[in-house]
Amino acid sequence: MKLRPKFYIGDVLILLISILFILFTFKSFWHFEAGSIVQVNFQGKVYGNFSLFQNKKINLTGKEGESVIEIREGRARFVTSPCKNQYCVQQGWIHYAGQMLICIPNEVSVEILDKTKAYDSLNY
Amino acid sequence: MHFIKFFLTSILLCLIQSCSNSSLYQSKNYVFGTIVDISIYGEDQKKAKDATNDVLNEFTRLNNSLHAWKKSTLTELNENIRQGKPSTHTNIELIHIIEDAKSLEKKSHHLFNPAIGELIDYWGFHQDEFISMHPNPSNIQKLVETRPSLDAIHISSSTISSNNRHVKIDLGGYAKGYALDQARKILDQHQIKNALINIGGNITAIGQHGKQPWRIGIQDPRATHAIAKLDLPDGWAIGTSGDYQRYFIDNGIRYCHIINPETGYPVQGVYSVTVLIEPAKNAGVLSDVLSKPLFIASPNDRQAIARSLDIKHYFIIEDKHILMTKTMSDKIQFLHPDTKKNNQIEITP
Repeated sequence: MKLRPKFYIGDVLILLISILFILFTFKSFWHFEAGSIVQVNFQGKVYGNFSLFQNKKINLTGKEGESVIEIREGRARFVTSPCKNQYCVQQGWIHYAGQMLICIPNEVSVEILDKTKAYDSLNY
Repeated sequence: MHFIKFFLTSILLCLIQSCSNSSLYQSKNYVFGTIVDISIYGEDQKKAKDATNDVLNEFTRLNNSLHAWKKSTLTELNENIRQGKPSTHTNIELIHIIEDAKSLEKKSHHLFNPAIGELIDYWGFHQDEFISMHPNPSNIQKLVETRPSLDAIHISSSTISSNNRHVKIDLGGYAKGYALDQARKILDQHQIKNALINIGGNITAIGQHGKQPWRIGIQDPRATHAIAKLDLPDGWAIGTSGDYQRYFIDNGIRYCHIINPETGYPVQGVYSVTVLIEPAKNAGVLSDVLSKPLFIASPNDRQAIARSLDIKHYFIIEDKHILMTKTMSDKIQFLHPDTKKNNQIEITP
Protein backbone atom coordinates (compact mmCIF):
# COMPACT_ATOMS: atom_id res chain seq x y z
CA MET A 1 0.00 0.00 0.00
CA LYS A 2 1.19 3.41 -0.85
CA LEU A 3 0.60 6.19 1.68
CA ARG A 4 0.24 9.44 -0.17
CA PRO A 5 0.71 12.41 2.11
CA LYS A 6 -2.42 14.45 1.89
CA PHE A 7 -2.14 18.16 2.35
CA TYR A 8 -5.44 19.82 2.91
CA ILE A 9 -6.24 23.48 2.87
CA GLY A 10 -6.94 23.18 6.58
CA ASP A 11 -3.32 22.28 7.24
CA VAL A 12 -2.17 25.38 5.41
CA LEU A 13 -4.60 27.49 7.37
CA ILE A 14 -3.45 26.06 10.68
CA LEU A 15 0.17 26.77 9.79
CA LEU A 16 -0.62 30.26 8.63
CA ILE A 17 -2.75 31.05 11.65
CA SER A 18 -0.13 29.68 14.01
CA ILE A 19 2.53 31.89 12.47
CA LEU A 20 0.23 34.91 12.68
CA PHE A 21 -0.59 34.03 16.26
CA ILE A 22 3.08 33.79 17.21
CA LEU A 23 3.84 37.12 15.53
CA PHE A 24 0.88 38.70 17.26
CA THR A 25 1.79 37.45 20.73
CA PHE A 26 5.36 38.64 20.24
CA LYS A 27 4.14 42.05 19.24
CA SER A 28 1.74 42.46 22.12
CA PHE A 29 3.56 40.74 24.97
CA TRP A 30 7.19 41.57 24.23
CA HIS A 31 7.84 44.43 26.60
CA PHE A 32 10.82 46.70 26.48
CA GLU A 33 13.04 46.88 29.50
CA ALA A 34 11.81 49.51 31.91
CA GLY A 35 12.80 52.87 30.49
CA SER A 36 14.47 51.90 27.26
CA ILE A 37 13.00 54.53 24.97
CA VAL A 38 13.28 58.27 25.20
CA GLN A 39 10.74 60.53 23.55
CA VAL A 40 11.84 63.98 22.47
CA ASN A 41 9.08 66.56 22.01
CA PHE A 42 9.85 69.73 20.13
CA GLN A 43 7.50 72.68 19.53
CA GLY A 44 4.42 70.68 20.47
CA LYS A 45 5.16 67.68 18.28
CA VAL A 46 6.93 64.39 18.82
CA TYR A 47 10.37 64.94 17.36
CA GLY A 48 11.27 61.30 17.71
CA ASN A 49 11.53 58.21 19.88
CA PHE A 50 15.08 57.02 20.45
CA SER A 51 16.54 53.94 22.07
CA LEU A 52 18.35 54.78 25.29
CA PHE A 53 20.95 52.13 24.54
CA GLN A 54 23.01 54.13 22.11
CA ASN A 55 25.29 57.11 22.27
CA LYS A 56 23.70 59.98 20.45
CA LYS A 57 23.48 63.72 20.50
CA ILE A 58 20.38 65.53 19.29
CA ASN A 59 20.60 69.19 18.32
CA LEU A 60 17.38 71.16 18.14
CA THR A 61 17.19 74.79 17.10
CA GLY A 62 14.17 76.47 18.62
CA LYS A 63 13.00 80.01 19.27
CA GLU A 64 15.72 80.66 21.86
CA GLY A 65 18.57 78.92 20.12
CA GLU A 66 20.11 75.49 20.16
CA SER A 67 19.30 72.78 22.73
CA VAL A 68 21.58 69.76 22.84
CA ILE A 69 20.27 66.48 24.24
CA GLU A 70 22.60 63.60 24.93
CA ILE A 71 21.72 59.92 25.14
CA ARG A 72 24.33 57.65 26.68
CA GLU A 73 24.35 54.31 28.51
CA GLY A 74 20.61 54.13 29.10
CA ARG A 75 20.24 57.72 30.23
CA ALA A 76 19.37 61.08 28.73
CA ARG A 77 20.09 64.71 29.63
CA PHE A 78 20.27 68.25 28.35
CA VAL A 79 23.93 69.07 27.65
CA THR A 80 23.36 72.72 26.78
CA SER A 81 20.33 74.91 26.47
CA PRO A 82 19.89 78.51 25.34
CA CYS A 83 17.48 79.36 28.20
CA LYS A 84 18.45 81.68 31.05
CA ASN A 85 17.48 79.58 34.03
CA GLN A 86 19.14 76.33 32.90
CA TYR A 87 16.79 74.16 35.01
CA CYS A 88 16.72 71.54 32.27
CA VAL A 89 20.52 71.23 32.28
CA GLN A 90 20.82 71.31 36.06
CA GLN A 91 18.45 68.38 36.50
CA GLY A 92 21.10 66.14 35.00
CA TRP A 93 20.51 62.60 33.78
CA ILE A 94 17.18 60.79 33.76
CA HIS A 95 16.68 57.08 33.23
CA TYR A 96 13.51 55.80 34.92
CA ALA A 97 10.30 55.40 32.98
CA GLY A 98 8.09 58.44 33.46
CA GLN A 99 10.94 60.82 34.23
CA MET A 100 10.85 64.01 32.25
CA LEU A 101 12.99 67.05 31.54
CA ILE A 102 11.33 70.16 30.18
CA CYS A 103 12.81 73.30 28.69
CA ILE A 104 9.78 75.58 28.40
CA PRO A 105 11.51 78.59 26.77
CA ASN A 106 12.86 76.53 23.91
CA GLU A 107 9.81 74.21 23.83
CA VAL A 108 11.73 70.97 24.22
CA SER A 109 10.81 68.08 26.49
CA VAL A 110 12.55 64.76 27.00
CA GLU A 111 10.59 61.90 28.51
CA ILE A 112 11.55 58.32 29.29
CA LEU A 113 8.81 56.04 27.99
CA ASP A 114 7.76 52.65 29.15
CA LYS A 115 4.84 50.48 28.21
CA THR A 116 3.98 49.95 31.84
CA LYS A 117 4.13 53.57 32.86
CA ALA A 118 3.06 54.06 36.46
CA TYR A 119 0.74 56.93 35.54
CA ASP A 120 -0.89 58.75 32.62
CA SER A 121 0.12 62.29 33.44
CA LEU A 122 2.21 64.17 35.98
CA ASN A 123 0.99 66.70 38.54
CA TYR A 124 3.68 69.22 39.44
CA MET B 1 -13.40 23.21 10.56
CA HIS B 2 -14.86 24.27 13.91
CA PHE B 3 -11.37 24.44 15.26
CA ILE B 4 -10.30 26.82 12.51
CA LYS B 5 -13.34 29.00 13.05
CA PHE B 6 -12.57 29.16 16.73
CA PHE B 7 -8.97 30.04 16.01
CA LEU B 8 -9.86 32.77 13.53
CA THR B 9 -12.43 34.32 15.84
CA SER B 10 -10.06 34.37 18.77
CA ILE B 11 -7.35 36.04 16.68
CA LEU B 12 -9.85 38.58 15.42
CA LEU B 13 -10.90 39.32 18.99
CA CYS B 14 -7.27 39.74 20.02
CA LEU B 15 -6.68 42.16 17.16
CA ILE B 16 -9.78 44.18 18.02
CA GLN B 17 -8.63 44.28 21.63
CA SER B 18 -5.18 45.50 20.65
CA CYS B 19 -6.67 48.17 18.40
CA SER B 20 -8.86 49.56 21.15
CA ASN B 21 -5.88 49.62 23.52
CA SER B 22 -3.95 51.87 21.25
CA SER B 23 -6.67 54.45 20.66
CA LEU B 24 -5.05 57.04 22.85
CA TYR B 25 -4.62 60.45 21.28
CA GLN B 26 -2.00 62.61 22.94
CA SER B 27 -0.85 66.14 22.29
CA LYS B 28 1.71 68.37 23.95
CA ASN B 29 1.66 72.10 23.38
CA TYR B 30 2.99 75.27 24.93
CA VAL B 31 0.41 77.72 26.25
CA PHE B 32 0.26 79.77 29.49
CA GLY B 33 4.06 79.64 29.55
CA THR B 34 3.95 75.94 30.30
CA ILE B 35 3.17 72.55 28.79
CA VAL B 36 -0.41 71.67 27.97
CA ASP B 37 -0.81 67.93 27.77
CA ILE B 38 -4.10 66.52 26.46
CA SER B 39 -4.90 62.80 26.28
CA ILE B 40 -8.10 61.51 24.72
CA TYR B 41 -9.00 57.87 24.95
CA GLY B 42 -11.23 55.71 22.79
CA GLU B 43 -12.10 58.17 20.03
CA ASP B 44 -10.96 58.18 16.44
CA GLN B 45 -7.92 60.33 15.79
CA LYS B 46 -9.74 62.91 13.67
CA LYS B 47 -12.41 63.57 16.27
CA ALA B 48 -9.83 63.72 19.05
CA LYS B 49 -7.67 66.10 17.04
CA ASP B 50 -10.56 68.46 16.27
CA ALA B 51 -11.59 68.57 19.91
CA THR B 52 -7.99 69.15 21.03
CA ASN B 53 -7.60 72.02 18.57
CA ASP B 54 -10.74 73.70 19.89
CA VAL B 55 -9.43 73.35 23.45
CA LEU B 56 -6.02 74.77 22.48
CA ASN B 57 -7.65 77.72 20.68
CA GLU B 58 -9.64 78.45 23.82
CA PHE B 59 -6.44 78.29 25.91
CA THR B 60 -4.70 80.70 23.57
CA ARG B 61 -7.67 83.07 23.77
CA LEU B 62 -7.60 82.95 27.58
CA ASN B 63 -3.85 83.44 27.67
CA ASN B 64 -4.17 86.53 25.46
CA SER B 65 -7.00 87.90 27.57
CA LEU B 66 -5.66 87.12 31.07
CA HIS B 67 -1.90 87.46 30.69
CA ALA B 68 -0.38 89.29 33.66
CA TRP B 69 2.44 91.14 31.90
CA LYS B 70 2.07 90.86 28.13
CA LYS B 71 -0.55 93.21 26.67
CA SER B 72 -3.96 91.70 27.43
CA THR B 73 -7.46 92.67 28.51
CA LEU B 74 -6.19 92.28 32.06
CA THR B 75 -3.12 94.51 31.64
CA GLU B 76 -5.37 97.20 30.15
CA LEU B 77 -7.57 97.00 33.22
CA ASN B 78 -4.51 97.17 35.49
CA GLU B 79 -3.24 100.22 33.64
CA ASN B 80 -6.60 101.98 34.16
CA ILE B 81 -6.49 101.10 37.87
CA ARG B 82 -2.98 102.55 38.13
CA GLN B 83 -4.16 105.80 36.54
CA GLY B 84 -7.25 105.87 38.76
CA LYS B 85 -9.59 105.52 35.79
CA PRO B 86 -12.64 103.24 35.69
CA SER B 87 -12.72 100.60 32.93
CA THR B 88 -15.98 100.68 31.03
CA HIS B 89 -17.47 97.99 28.77
CA THR B 90 -15.37 95.29 30.38
CA ASN B 91 -16.23 91.89 28.96
CA ILE B 92 -18.61 89.81 31.00
CA GLU B 93 -16.20 86.88 31.32
CA LEU B 94 -13.50 89.00 32.98
CA ILE B 95 -16.11 90.45 35.34
CA HIS B 96 -17.24 86.98 36.38
CA ILE B 97 -13.63 85.89 36.89
CA ILE B 98 -12.80 88.91 39.04
CA GLU B 99 -15.96 88.50 41.12
CA ASP B 100 -15.16 84.83 41.66
CA ALA B 101 -11.52 85.55 42.52
CA LYS B 102 -12.67 88.26 44.91
CA SER B 103 -14.91 85.86 46.82
CA LEU B 104 -12.14 83.24 46.93
CA GLU B 105 -9.76 85.86 48.29
CA LYS B 106 -12.21 86.64 51.08
CA LYS B 107 -12.83 82.95 51.90
CA SER B 108 -9.08 82.30 52.08
CA HIS B 109 -8.63 85.15 54.58
CA HIS B 110 -6.68 87.03 51.88
CA LEU B 111 -3.96 84.38 51.62
CA PHE B 112 -5.00 83.82 48.01
CA ASN B 113 -4.63 87.39 46.88
CA PRO B 114 -4.65 88.07 43.11
CA ALA B 115 -4.18 91.82 43.66
CA ILE B 116 -0.48 91.66 44.57
CA GLY B 117 0.83 92.02 41.02
CA GLU B 118 3.18 94.85 42.07
CA LEU B 119 4.88 92.57 44.60
CA ILE B 120 5.16 89.72 42.12
CA ASP B 121 6.59 92.14 39.58
CA TYR B 122 9.03 93.51 42.19
CA TRP B 123 10.35 90.01 42.81
CA GLY B 124 10.96 89.66 39.08
CA PHE B 125 8.40 86.99 38.34
CA HIS B 126 6.60 89.01 35.67
CA GLN B 127 8.96 87.77 32.98
CA ASP B 128 9.14 84.57 31.02
CA GLU B 129 12.68 84.06 32.22
CA PHE B 130 13.35 85.95 35.38
CA ILE B 131 16.74 86.69 36.83
CA SER B 132 17.76 86.50 40.47
CA MET B 133 17.65 89.77 42.43
CA HIS B 134 18.60 91.11 45.84
CA PRO B 135 15.43 91.96 47.75
CA ASN B 136 15.36 95.33 49.49
CA PRO B 137 13.35 95.05 52.75
CA SER B 138 12.19 98.66 52.79
CA ASN B 139 10.86 98.47 49.22
CA ILE B 140 9.00 95.31 50.11
CA GLN B 141 7.58 96.93 53.23
CA LYS B 142 6.29 99.85 51.14
CA LEU B 143 4.58 97.50 48.70
CA VAL B 144 2.95 95.51 51.53
CA GLU B 145 1.70 98.74 53.12
CA THR B 146 -0.22 99.67 49.98
CA ARG B 147 -2.54 96.82 51.09
CA PRO B 148 -3.57 95.61 47.64
CA SER B 149 -6.74 93.53 47.70
CA LEU B 150 -9.60 92.73 45.35
CA ASP B 151 -11.80 94.19 48.10
CA ALA B 152 -10.89 97.55 46.61
CA ILE B 153 -12.45 96.58 43.28
CA HIS B 154 -15.96 97.79 42.56
CA ILE B 155 -18.07 96.42 39.78
CA SER B 156 -21.28 97.97 38.51
CA SER B 157 -22.72 96.44 35.36
CA SER B 158 -19.74 96.46 32.94
CA THR B 159 -17.63 99.06 34.74
CA ILE B 160 -14.72 98.10 36.96
CA SER B 161 -13.02 100.58 39.24
CA SER B 162 -10.68 100.42 42.18
CA ASN B 163 -10.24 102.75 45.14
CA ASN B 164 -6.66 101.52 45.53
CA ARG B 165 -4.31 102.39 42.69
CA HIS B 166 -1.84 99.76 43.87
CA VAL B 167 -4.13 96.90 42.95
CA LYS B 168 -2.47 95.05 40.10
CA ILE B 169 -4.44 91.95 39.26
CA ASP B 170 -2.45 88.80 38.53
CA LEU B 171 -4.52 85.69 37.80
CA GLY B 172 -1.53 83.36 37.72
CA GLY B 173 -3.13 81.28 40.46
CA TYR B 174 -6.53 81.13 38.80
CA ALA B 175 -6.34 81.20 35.02
CA LYS B 176 -5.02 77.67 34.44
CA GLY B 177 -7.73 76.23 36.65
CA TYR B 178 -10.37 78.27 34.84
CA ALA B 179 -8.97 76.98 31.55
CA LEU B 180 -9.40 73.40 32.80
CA ASP B 181 -13.09 74.03 33.47
CA GLN B 182 -13.46 75.56 29.99
CA ALA B 183 -11.68 72.57 28.43
CA ARG B 184 -14.11 70.24 30.14
CA LYS B 185 -17.07 72.13 28.59
CA ILE B 186 -15.51 72.07 25.11
CA LEU B 187 -14.70 68.37 25.24
CA ASP B 188 -18.23 67.72 26.44
CA GLN B 189 -19.61 69.61 23.41
CA HIS B 190 -17.45 67.36 21.23
CA GLN B 191 -18.92 64.36 23.04
CA ILE B 192 -15.52 63.21 24.19
CA LYS B 193 -16.14 60.76 27.00
CA ASN B 194 -12.62 60.02 28.18
CA ALA B 195 -9.88 62.62 28.45
CA LEU B 196 -7.17 63.94 30.71
CA ILE B 197 -6.14 67.60 30.54
CA ASN B 198 -2.93 68.78 32.15
CA ILE B 199 -1.99 72.47 32.13
CA GLY B 200 1.39 72.89 33.74
CA GLY B 201 0.60 70.28 36.37
CA ASN B 202 -3.01 71.24 37.03
CA ILE B 203 -5.05 68.26 35.90
CA THR B 204 -8.67 67.29 35.45
CA ALA B 205 -10.10 63.97 34.34
CA ILE B 206 -13.05 63.14 32.15
CA GLY B 207 -14.18 59.51 32.16
CA GLN B 208 -11.32 57.06 32.40
CA HIS B 209 -8.45 55.39 30.59
CA GLY B 210 -10.11 52.23 29.27
CA LYS B 211 -11.09 49.98 32.13
CA GLN B 212 -9.02 51.89 34.68
CA PRO B 213 -9.32 55.41 36.02
CA TRP B 214 -6.77 57.96 34.81
CA ARG B 215 -3.61 57.68 36.87
CA ILE B 216 -1.68 60.71 38.03
CA GLY B 217 1.88 60.93 39.26
CA ILE B 218 2.73 63.57 41.85
CA GLN B 219 6.12 65.16 41.25
CA ASP B 220 8.80 64.79 43.90
CA PRO B 221 9.73 68.45 44.53
CA ARG B 222 13.41 67.62 45.00
CA ALA B 223 13.91 65.00 42.29
CA THR B 224 13.14 64.41 38.63
CA HIS B 225 10.60 61.66 39.21
CA ALA B 226 7.18 61.18 40.75
CA ILE B 227 6.95 60.57 44.49
CA ALA B 228 3.47 59.05 44.48
CA LYS B 229 0.56 58.18 42.27
CA LEU B 230 -3.19 58.22 42.58
CA ASP B 231 -6.32 57.56 40.55
CA LEU B 232 -8.15 60.63 39.32
CA PRO B 233 -11.80 59.64 38.80
CA ASP B 234 -14.22 61.33 36.41
CA GLY B 235 -14.79 64.99 37.27
CA TRP B 236 -12.00 65.29 39.84
CA ALA B 237 -9.16 67.78 39.59
CA ILE B 238 -5.72 68.04 41.16
CA GLY B 239 -3.35 70.95 41.55
CA THR B 240 0.01 71.62 43.16
CA SER B 241 1.80 74.72 44.32
CA GLY B 242 5.52 74.21 44.58
CA ASP B 243 8.76 76.05 45.18
CA TYR B 244 10.58 74.11 42.46
CA GLN B 245 9.15 75.36 39.15
CA ARG B 246 9.61 79.13 39.28
CA TYR B 247 12.27 80.21 41.73
CA PHE B 248 15.72 81.72 41.97
CA ILE B 249 18.48 81.35 44.51
CA ASP B 250 20.21 84.41 45.96
CA ASN B 251 22.93 84.04 48.62
CA GLY B 252 21.95 80.42 49.09
CA ILE B 253 18.31 81.28 49.81
CA ARG B 254 15.59 79.91 47.60
CA TYR B 255 12.95 82.46 46.56
CA CYS B 256 9.92 80.88 44.90
CA HIS B 257 7.14 82.62 42.98
CA ILE B 258 4.50 82.19 45.68
CA ILE B 259 4.51 85.34 47.76
CA ASN B 260 2.90 85.76 51.16
CA PRO B 261 0.74 88.90 50.79
CA GLU B 262 1.12 89.66 54.50
CA THR B 263 4.93 89.72 54.56
CA GLY B 264 5.67 90.47 50.92
CA TYR B 265 8.25 87.65 50.89
CA PRO B 266 8.21 84.35 49.02
CA VAL B 267 7.12 81.42 51.18
CA GLN B 268 10.02 79.44 52.55
CA GLY B 269 10.27 75.92 53.90
CA VAL B 270 7.32 74.37 52.07
CA TYR B 271 8.33 72.29 49.06
CA SER B 272 4.89 71.56 47.65
CA VAL B 273 1.19 71.50 48.44
CA THR B 274 -1.16 69.31 46.44
CA VAL B 275 -4.94 69.53 46.65
CA LEU B 276 -7.38 67.03 45.24
CA ILE B 277 -10.83 68.43 44.42
CA GLU B 278 -14.07 66.49 44.16
CA PRO B 279 -16.31 66.90 41.09
CA ALA B 280 -17.79 70.39 40.83
CA LYS B 281 -18.53 72.84 38.04
CA ASN B 282 -15.47 74.84 39.09
CA ALA B 283 -13.24 71.93 40.17
CA GLY B 284 -10.47 73.22 37.90
CA VAL B 285 -10.47 76.68 39.46
CA LEU B 286 -10.53 75.21 42.95
CA SER B 287 -7.62 72.87 42.16
CA ASP B 288 -5.57 75.88 41.06
CA VAL B 289 -6.58 78.35 43.77
CA LEU B 290 -6.88 76.27 46.93
CA SER B 291 -3.30 75.03 47.07
CA LYS B 292 -2.09 78.63 47.54
CA PRO B 293 -3.65 79.44 50.97
CA LEU B 294 -2.33 76.13 52.31
CA PHE B 295 1.11 76.85 50.86
CA ILE B 296 1.20 80.30 52.45
CA ALA B 297 -0.51 79.61 55.81
CA SER B 298 1.70 78.98 58.80
CA PRO B 299 1.79 75.28 59.77
CA ASN B 300 -0.44 75.91 62.81
CA ASP B 301 -3.17 77.51 60.71
CA ARG B 302 -3.34 74.85 58.02
CA GLN B 303 -6.12 72.75 59.52
CA ALA B 304 -8.32 75.80 60.14
CA ILE B 305 -7.71 77.09 56.60
CA ALA B 306 -8.47 73.70 55.09
CA ARG B 307 -11.68 73.50 57.12
CA SER B 308 -12.88 76.99 56.18
CA LEU B 309 -12.15 76.37 52.48
CA ASP B 310 -13.57 72.84 52.65
CA ILE B 311 -10.36 71.21 51.35
CA LYS B 312 -10.81 67.52 52.14
CA HIS B 313 -7.75 66.13 50.40
CA TYR B 314 -4.34 67.68 50.69
CA PHE B 315 -0.74 66.53 50.62
CA ILE B 316 2.12 68.75 51.83
CA ILE B 317 5.83 68.03 51.37
CA GLU B 318 8.45 69.77 53.48
CA ASP B 319 12.00 68.90 54.47
CA LYS B 320 11.85 65.27 55.67
CA HIS B 321 8.19 65.73 56.52
CA ILE B 322 5.03 64.80 54.65
CA LEU B 323 1.64 65.88 55.92
CA MET B 324 -1.66 64.68 54.49
CA THR B 325 -5.28 64.15 55.37
CA LYS B 326 -6.55 60.66 56.12
CA THR B 327 -8.74 60.76 52.99
CA MET B 328 -5.69 61.65 50.90
CA SER B 329 -3.54 58.90 52.40
CA ASP B 330 -6.25 56.38 51.48
CA LYS B 331 -5.95 57.45 47.86
CA ILE B 332 -2.25 57.82 47.21
CA GLN B 333 0.44 55.27 46.78
CA PHE B 334 4.12 56.07 47.25
CA LEU B 335 6.29 54.91 44.38
CA HIS B 336 9.58 54.45 46.24
CA PRO B 337 10.00 52.56 49.51
CA ASP B 338 12.62 55.12 50.61
CA THR B 339 10.03 57.88 50.82
CA LYS B 340 8.45 56.35 53.92
CA LYS B 341 11.88 55.70 55.43
CA ASN B 342 13.31 59.16 54.83
CA ASN B 343 10.31 61.26 55.79
CA GLN B 344 8.23 61.62 58.89
CA ILE B 345 4.72 61.00 57.62
CA GLU B 346 1.95 62.76 59.49
CA ILE B 347 -1.70 62.07 58.85
CA THR B 348 -4.36 64.51 60.00
CA PRO B 349 -8.02 63.56 60.43
